[in-house]
Order: sequence, then C-alpha cells, then structure tokens
Amino acid sequence: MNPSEALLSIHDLTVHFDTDEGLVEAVNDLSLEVGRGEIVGLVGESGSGKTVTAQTILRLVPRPPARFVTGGVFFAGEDLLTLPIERLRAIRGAQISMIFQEPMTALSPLHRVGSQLSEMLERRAGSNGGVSRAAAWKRSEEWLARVGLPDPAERMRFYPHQLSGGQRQRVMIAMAMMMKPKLIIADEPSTALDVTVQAQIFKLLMSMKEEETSLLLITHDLGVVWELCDRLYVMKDSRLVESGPLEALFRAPARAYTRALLDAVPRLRGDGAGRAGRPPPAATAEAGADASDAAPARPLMEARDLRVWFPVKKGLLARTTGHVKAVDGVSLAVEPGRTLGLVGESGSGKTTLGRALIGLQPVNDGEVLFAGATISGLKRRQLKPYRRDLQMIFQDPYSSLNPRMTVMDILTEGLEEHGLLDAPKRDKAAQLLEEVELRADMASRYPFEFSGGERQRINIARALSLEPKFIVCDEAVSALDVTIQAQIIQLLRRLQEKYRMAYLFISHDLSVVRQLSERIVVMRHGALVEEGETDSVLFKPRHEYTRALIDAVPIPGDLARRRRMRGAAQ
Amino acid sequence: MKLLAPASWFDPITRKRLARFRASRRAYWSLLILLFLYLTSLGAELLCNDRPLYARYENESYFPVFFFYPEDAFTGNGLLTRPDYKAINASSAFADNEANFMIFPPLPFGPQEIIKPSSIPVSEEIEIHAQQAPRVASVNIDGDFIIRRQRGAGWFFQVPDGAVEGMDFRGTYPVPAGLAQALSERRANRPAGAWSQTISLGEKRIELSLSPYKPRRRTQDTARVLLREVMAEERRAAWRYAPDAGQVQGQDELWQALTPAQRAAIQAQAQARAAAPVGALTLEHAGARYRVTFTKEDVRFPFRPIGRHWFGLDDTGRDVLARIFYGLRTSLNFGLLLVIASMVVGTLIGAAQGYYGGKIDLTGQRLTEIWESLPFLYVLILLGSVYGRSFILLLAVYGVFNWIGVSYYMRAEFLRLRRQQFVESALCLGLPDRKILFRHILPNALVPLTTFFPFYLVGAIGTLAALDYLGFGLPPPTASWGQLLAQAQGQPHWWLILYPSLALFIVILLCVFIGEGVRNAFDPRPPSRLE
Repeated sequence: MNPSEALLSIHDLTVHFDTDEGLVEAVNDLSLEVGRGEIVGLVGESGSGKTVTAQTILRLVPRPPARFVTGGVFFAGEDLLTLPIERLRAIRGAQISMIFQEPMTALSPLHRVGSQLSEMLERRAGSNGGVSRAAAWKRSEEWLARVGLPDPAERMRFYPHQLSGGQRQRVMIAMAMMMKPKLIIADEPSTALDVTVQAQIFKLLMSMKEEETSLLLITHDLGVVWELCDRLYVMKDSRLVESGPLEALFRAPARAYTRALLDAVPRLRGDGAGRAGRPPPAATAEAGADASDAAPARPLMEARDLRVWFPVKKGLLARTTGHVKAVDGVSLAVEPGRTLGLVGESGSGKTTLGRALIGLQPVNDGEVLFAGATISGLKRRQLKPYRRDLQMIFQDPYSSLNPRMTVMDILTEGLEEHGLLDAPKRDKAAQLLEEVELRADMASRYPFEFSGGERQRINIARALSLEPKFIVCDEAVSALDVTIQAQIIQLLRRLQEKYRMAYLFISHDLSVVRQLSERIVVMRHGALVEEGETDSVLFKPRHEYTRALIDAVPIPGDLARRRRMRGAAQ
Repeated sequence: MKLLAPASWFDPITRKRLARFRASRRAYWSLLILLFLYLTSLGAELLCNDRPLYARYENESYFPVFFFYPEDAFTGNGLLTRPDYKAINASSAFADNEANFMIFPPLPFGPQEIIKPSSIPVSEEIEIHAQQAPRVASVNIDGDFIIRRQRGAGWFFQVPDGAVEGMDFRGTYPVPAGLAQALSERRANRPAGAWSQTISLGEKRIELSLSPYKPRRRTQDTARVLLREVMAEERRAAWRYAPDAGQVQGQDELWQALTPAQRAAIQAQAQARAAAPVGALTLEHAGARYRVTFTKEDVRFPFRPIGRHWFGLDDTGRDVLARIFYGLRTSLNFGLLLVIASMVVGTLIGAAQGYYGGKIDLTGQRLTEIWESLPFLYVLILLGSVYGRSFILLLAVYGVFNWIGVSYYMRAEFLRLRRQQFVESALCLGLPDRKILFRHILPNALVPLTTFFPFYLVGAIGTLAALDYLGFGLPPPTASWGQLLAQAQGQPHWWLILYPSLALFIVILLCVFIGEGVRNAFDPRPPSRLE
C-alpha cells in the first residue's frame, strides 16, 4: 500500500526496558502501517513484543523502565512519540481508542456503565460540538444497543461487575467506537472470552469497517486473524518476521517461523486428525478392545449421577438461600489408557467436575468410583492410598509450582511422602526430567528460571512421579503459545502410550481436545449435553449447543468461512 | 562488610530480595547501625557501669561486673551487702596501697546509681549582686491634706517615719492640680480612674499615684497616695566570694565606698550562703538604697549536663546517658520480643483461620473482634495492680492484644495461597496439612510479616515510651526513655526532654529506613511515570 495513504505508520521503532535483570529489548526495528479502513493483524507468541508495540502507539508504557530508543509513530502526519502530552491526550480516545484484553480491569468498578460511557462524550463536548448530559446518556444507550447488549436502558445503570465478561467487552467496544475514532487498537480483545461470545465480538469488530475505522488487532490466535484481517504482521522475539496480505501469507508463508506457527494451530476439522501422526480414534478403540480380549474394558474412573452444589448464603445469619449447581447429575466413565475430553465454556462446571473426580472437591451426591472402589466421601486419610493413582495437571504454569522450591524438591516431594523414594532424589528427579524431555541438570534450578512450556513439563513430571493411573489435565495447555501447545500435547500422548494412563482432558478449546481424546463429553451449566466418539461429536453434533460451540471456532484457512464472516459484516 | 550477603542456600527469591535490600544503601546502613547499637547495648554493663570491670585488692583479682562480692571482701566490716566500689576506691584503706586499683568502664555510672551531689563539680563561688532599689511608701491623706496614716514615708518627708503622721502634705510638697481633683472625686465617693504624676523636690524626683477608685458603701475619709522614688540611674555592682579565699573579689568603687560594717555584713552573709541559701541584704549608701543578693549554683536534681555527666542527671540524681543507654536495651528487647511473639501468635491463628476457612475462620474472626474490643489500658492497669508491674507482664499483656493485626494479614495471605495451584498440587500428592502449611504456604506468606517487622518494631518502641511516660509501663527503677520524659513534665529541664527524645527519634528513624528498604526489596517498582 502507498505509505502516504497510511493512517498509522510506525518506523523503525525500538523500545527498551531497563530492569533489575538488565536491558530487555521489547521491540526492535519494527515498522508497521495501518491504512484507512483497514483491519491489520499483529501476531506473535507471548513475549514477542506485540503488546508493548500497541501500548507505545499511545505512549501508554510507563517510562522508566521503558525507553523509546529509535523510531517514530506517525499518525496523520504527527509523531505521537514526541507530541506534547496535551496534544496526545486530545488524540487518545477521540482519534485512537484502545480495547484491552481484560474488560474488568479496564472499566472503573465504582461507576455505572452509563456514566462511564456518557462521561466520555461529555468530556469531548468541546471538540464534538456540545453534547449535554442527557444527550450523551441517550447516545451511550444507542451505542449499547448497537453493540448488541440486551436491555441497554437497564444495562446503563449496571456496575461493571454485574455484567458478564462478554458484555463488559461489548461495553469497551462501544466506548471505543462511540467517539468515532480513526483507529482502534484491540489488544487480545477476545482471549478472555468463550468461543461463542468471541464470535459475536468479531462481528462487532468487523462492523467497524462501515464507520471507515481502521483496526489494529493484536493477538496470538491465528484463527481470529484469519476471520478478521486484511493484512498481517508476524512478530517474534521483538522483531518483525513477515508481513503481507493475509490470504497470500496463509497460503504461502515465506518464513519458516510463520509456517511453523501456522502448522501448530490445532484444526477442528479437515485433515488435521492424522497430522500429528496418530491413528484415527476408531483404530485406537479397536486396539484397546483387542488388548482387553474383546470384552468391554471396565472403566477405570466412573462418576455416577455426581452432584456438587455450592450453597449461596445471604443475610445476617448466612442462611442458605439457594445453590450454584456446579455439577448437577453427571455420569461418565473413563477407560484405562484412554482419554476423555471434557469441553465446556467458562462457568460450566468442568473444573469442579475434574476436582471432584480426584477427591479435591467434596461431592454432595452421587458416587465416584476408581477401579471399582467408591472414593467419593472418603476422608483425606482414607483417600491417601489413592493419591498415587489420581493426579492433576494444572492450567497455570506459573502458579502451579512453588516458587521457593527447587525442581528436584518439587518432583520428589510426593515420592518422599508415600515412601517410594528408592533412589537418591537427584537421580529420581533427573529420570523424571528426561521423561518430559528436559535436561537432567535442571533439577537444581528454581521454577522462575523456566519458560511457560518448560514449567508445564515440570508440572507433568510431578504428576508422573507417582506413576498414576488417572490424570486430570485441567486446561493444561490453554496458557501456552500454539507451538508449545503442540509439543505438550505430543508429550502427553507419548506418555500415555508408554504408561497406559487415562486422561480426563478438560478444555474450552475444541480443537485442542480433539487432538488427544477418543471420546468427548460436552458440559453446559453443570450437566452433560452430549457425549460420544470425538469425530462423531465434532462432525455430527446432535445437540444444538455443541453445534453452536463448533460453529463459533474460527478455522484458519477456511476461505468460505472467512468470506462469510467478512461478508456478513459488509 | 558482608552482612546479608545472599548465601547460596537461600532460595532465589530471597536471594534477590536480599541483594535488593543491600543495594539500598540507606536501609542497609541503618540496619548496620541499629544492629551495632543493639549489640553494644546488650553489653551495656561493660561500657557503662558503677561497678569496676576489674579490681585488684590485696593481690587478688575481682571482676565485679560479672560476680557479686560482699562489701566485707574489701573492707572487712562484716557487711554482706553490695559494696559501693567508688567509695571503696576513694577510701584511704584501699587507695593507700599502690598495688590496689580498680578499672572502671568508659562511662563509670550505673543506670541505678544515685550520684552524690558532692561529686558533681559545680563552682563553689558565690555571686553577689548589689542593685540600687527605689524607695516606696504610702500615705493616707484626708480632705485637708493631713497625713493620717503612713508606711515607710519618713525619707520622703525628711523626718523619721513616726513623725510623718499628722503632717500636712502641703507642707512638704506643692499639691498638683490633678491630685486635688482626684482626691475630691474619691472623697465624694465617685468612680475615678488611676492617676499618677511625677513631681520634683530638690534633687528628688517622686512619682505620686492613686489607684483606680470604685464607689463604696461608706464614704472614705482619706485616700491613699503612693510615693515612689524615681531614680536618675540604677547603680549596680557584682562581686564574687570564694569560700576558700574568704574574701570578696572584684572590689570596685561601690565596695570601696561602703562602710566597714556594711562590708563585714556582706562577707558574713556570703559565708553563710556557702552552706545554705540566705535572704537578701538591704543597705543604705550615699542616700541610695541597695539590695544585695547572694547566688550560688546548688546541686539540686534534676541537674544540667556537667563534667562527665554529658547528658545531665535525672530527678533522683542518676546519670541520664547511662539510663538512655540501658533504656535502649530495654526498648529494643521489649520491641523485638513483642513483635516476634505477636507475629508467631498472629501467624498461627491467622494461618489456621485462612487455611481451614469455614467455621473455624468465622468463629475465629468473631472471637478476635470481641477480644480486640477489650480495653488494653484497663487490662494492663488491672493486672499490674494485682501482680505488680513488670517487664514480663507488660510484654504479655501487650502481646496478647498485639497479634490481632498480624493475624488479619496472615489470614488473608493463607486464604489467597491455599487456592494457589501449587498448594492444590501438594494436596494432590497426598501431603499432610502440616507440610502444606509450613513448606508450601508459610514461606510464601511471609512477605507482609517481613515488610511490617520494622514498622511493628517502631510501634512497639513508641508504645513502650508512651506507657512509661504515662506511668503504666515498666516499674521503677527500670531505665526507660518514657520515664525520663515524664520527669521533664512541666519543668523546662531541656536535657530530660532533648536526649531521650533524640534517642527515640534516632531508633525510630533507623527502623523506618530499614522498613523502607525491606519494602522496596519486596516490591521493586521503579519510580515510573505514565503520561
């Protein structure tokens, strides 16, 4: 595109951070352009510098520790990095707005949604031709209706915490669009949201094209990019790797990194099943059946009509006035050496179910059977013999390792407790580390010295240490970048083949679940809505909710879908 | 100095925090200074004591700082009481033998030792001030200006005092118009303001004055006129009298002009002053009246800084520096013990509440609130009066209330941490509560405790000083800063205010600097600016 037409152009931007640990080069020699009415994607894995780039545009990075070393950010001919702060403030919100990842923290919790919206309009009244308070309120309400919030008049009087995550993000979008800015910078606008909500947010963002508004979309999710963007920039390790028109880039990436990134994206449909070199689910099922001598395998883990209700207490005497039915009458079975995928949106009760199965969460009703023995309702001491067999891999690789213990201590703690430490700690830890493809000499290090993917491997090694028969993987790869995700899934699969463990793989991400599971259950509002073989659930969903869930997943590379998505808004 | 060098056996978070603390020079040096002060105060007996470090007596060695010896050991008088080493050292029986000696600590005063006034090197000299004093008299005169009554008015009328009554005022002084007017007002029993006028009579200048008048029930026959000599210049002189010399020094013209009897009287009075305070002398000389006063600095406690008592003496004659030094030990011991005790108790209770939650938490919280509402001072006074005030009692009573704040923080920390995934994974591994609490949660929950430690210490030291000041604190004669401050109450004994306050200020300032450094070490947010 012709540079003179560019609305925003970043030239050779370099941003450094001075930290305790030394200089961090967050952005290096980055050049980027956003044309009028264009939707541009900026993609990169965590730590690649994409968020710093976004914040630098409006000078929202705190200085110090940040330093703008070289380059400029030109918006409508002015360099935003050197503009007097008063001028910049006039541009912020009015000409360039931002949408953040976490809408809860971006809205003031103490003020009503309506006041926050109309205050923006009133404050800009001078430059926008005099808007009275009543008019501002009315216009805000119109905008809430436009972003598809039900009952906008009522919602105007809500506080942010009374809205759901998706609704809050819509409010943020309304706030950003209301000022009719020339450019909106959206930093991971849908990452914190469920897929069905995400799809609605995309439609909204696409509708901005009507307003001749440009959008700079920062994300790690190539599916999102595929559905929305005209052009794409790929960042890695603070530098620009590749850029170009989206469809061409997806078809023929020039750089190896871009290709790897694209390959790592889990596909929900298409030829993705065999891509990781795995026999189709049916074959696995047959093999399992053969091994157990044609008789149906006895389930290793079974839940029968399980209920976990949390009391809702109100009033002075904290009387129970109702229940949150986190798990409400769930029955499922996991066979030895198999993986059951558990899919559901946030708040559907899937984590509670997983915790209940391994005895971390007391159940109100129903039964949990492990290898035929009832383990629900057991006291902690009675449960201890089963602890060896029931393990969990947690979502957050950062908070799941005690920061004050060495990897060696973390890995051998369970063995020590169960009196199973048959070799020196160091040897045992080394053995476990090798099992998860880490170097044995890492045993004496502390968790903070590892990357997210490495930490998740340590997490897996800890769960493995007791040689369990059943592992709950609670969103075990959700916090990781796609390339790392693929590696961890590979590892989980390899370990399963080697040790014949059963997994309950919990995720909100259908495409990830698909890579690992023979069977899938779909959970909604505490109950299972659908259950079946993975492919039959994905290709022939019976329940309406499953269908909606599948439809909402963006599929990178699906041209028809891209056209439909973009066409729908135009 | 390699104190707090990040040792390799610390975990990396602690190591990093230690390194950051060391990097903040002010906090690090404050810690070193405070540690130095505390350690030296622990050895206060060796630095500041009325007992000698070492005594040699009849070829035997004694270490009175460390061991108790009865007085009998040095004097042979059979007394088994604590000996007064300074008196023994000065006694001829001890000092006459060259081989006997005592080595006293650098500051040879104990915190409880009452200094003998005789050992305070005040000047023995007596200052004598003579100052010319105006004569004053009063006369009551009636309507005919006949003087009805008088007091000391003889000099003004040049007759003996006794002869003044019955004289006609006009016979000596011309009556100013104002006086007649003012007198007639008073005799008519009408209200009148004050009146005064200066008149001259030969060399004398006399101020006549009448006080304001309010009508009375009965009309007065006379009115009282005040007479006051107006002096052309006030003559004054200052002499000194040294008891040793037995003679008045600084003899000037006035002294020379005095009669021998007058000189003898002054000298005698000065001599008397050497022993005890005396009144002033009044003498007449050359038509003028002089008032002669005798002043000398007496040793009365509290006494100002003098000689080796650099910080002065308190109201019972104890050395203030010694008491401040021992008070430092008391304060820091009290503060450290209190803070450590309340942190241990607060952590245990807060941890139990936060970790187990539910009913334990709820019940614990309500009980804590009830406990917190007990009036601390009342409990302290009550228990103090039953069991007698003591360091331990004060520590116990204060500690019993002080843990509450800590428990709130620890409760919140444990509530937060028990939901952390590494705690859940420890549960998953089948670890018992004991190990989860102490290995997984506690080390990660110590942040608020460590950051608050110096500030809690400040609070404890301040509170001890306040309680001592109010008289609810440590029992006398324990050396304490608050008690020194209490002595200065209502009297401007600056050394009793300045030095204990300074000590308090320095220790608290050091603690605050340390606390600031610790806080920055735990939360290293660089000063940054968001436009």
